[in-house]
Amino acid sequence: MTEEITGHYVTVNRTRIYYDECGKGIPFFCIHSAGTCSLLYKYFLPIVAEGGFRGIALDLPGHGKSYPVDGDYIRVMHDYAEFVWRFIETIAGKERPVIIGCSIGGDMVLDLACHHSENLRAAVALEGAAYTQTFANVRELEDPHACPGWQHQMEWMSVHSLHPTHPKEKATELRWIHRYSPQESWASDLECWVDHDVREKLKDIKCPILVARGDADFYLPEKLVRETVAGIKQGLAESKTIPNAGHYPIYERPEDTFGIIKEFLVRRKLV
Amino acid sequence: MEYLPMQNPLGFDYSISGSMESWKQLIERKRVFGDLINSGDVMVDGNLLEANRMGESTHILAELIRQIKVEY
Repeated sequence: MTEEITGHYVTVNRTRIYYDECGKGIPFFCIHSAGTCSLLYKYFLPIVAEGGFRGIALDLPGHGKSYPVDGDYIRVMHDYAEFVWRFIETIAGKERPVIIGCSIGGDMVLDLACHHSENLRAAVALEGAAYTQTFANVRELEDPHACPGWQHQMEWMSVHSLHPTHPKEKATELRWIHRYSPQESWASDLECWVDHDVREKLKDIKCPILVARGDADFYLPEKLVRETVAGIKQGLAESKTIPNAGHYPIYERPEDTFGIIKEFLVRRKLV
Repeated sequence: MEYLPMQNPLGFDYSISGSMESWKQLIERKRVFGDLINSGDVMVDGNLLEANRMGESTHILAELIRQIKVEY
């Protein structure tokens, strides 16, 4: 029987944070992409649970049902990552978790691995890299009056980044998943993406790390994945291309993506 | 004053432009519209408010263009 997802709240740094949880076992934290929320992991969490883990997907501050920290948005990836690390410590206690993230979540996983890897079992960065200045800063467009077409434009840009063979209903659902965060949250997420740069800190990573991208993802050039893996101490990092996936492998190919992660963890005797 | 013979002196509310090669890549399904927009190979320009109002229709139009079967 498929494990059920249950909703929970926890207070971190005076901020009420929402998270979905599914299963029991080693904590397996899932961090969503820009402008989305925990719903991005709706199909993935039950698979994680069936694989013997305690899957946890939070709504980042200012997204979904989580309040922003002190009523403001986070504009620096490291600040974002440190907040999420306090969330992880609150939920996991002293248990060493697996962390994965998609897109800005993938960037955040790399930041967390650079600063907290001694307390991590493993890290998986999907659609993220050590450096992702792939487009201009969009801060000037964060107010709805400055860019009234933002919502439709960005929803479509998300749909286009799915693998071209995606079913129509998945595209419709992905647009809805992008409707639980305000424009300002989404724009500040992208600000974190373009300013993120941990290339100088990759040498500090001490846990095994998998860096993967969908074969049809045009947002993250493969070159950035290769450079990220090359910067990490030999033997710790691996790269992988996920077939028939775009920018959201955990949503598009949840079983295949979990299979790749599980194989990585088992082969390295981490579970 | 600089003379720009190809410039509309009244400006424009909305424009979408790309090289023939970019449009061919869209029709031949070698690249998706989001990729062409993200890379700047196809550009939407004009009055920000008017161009924004055309956002949804622009993407629907691009999807329809992708579905056209073209014989060269």
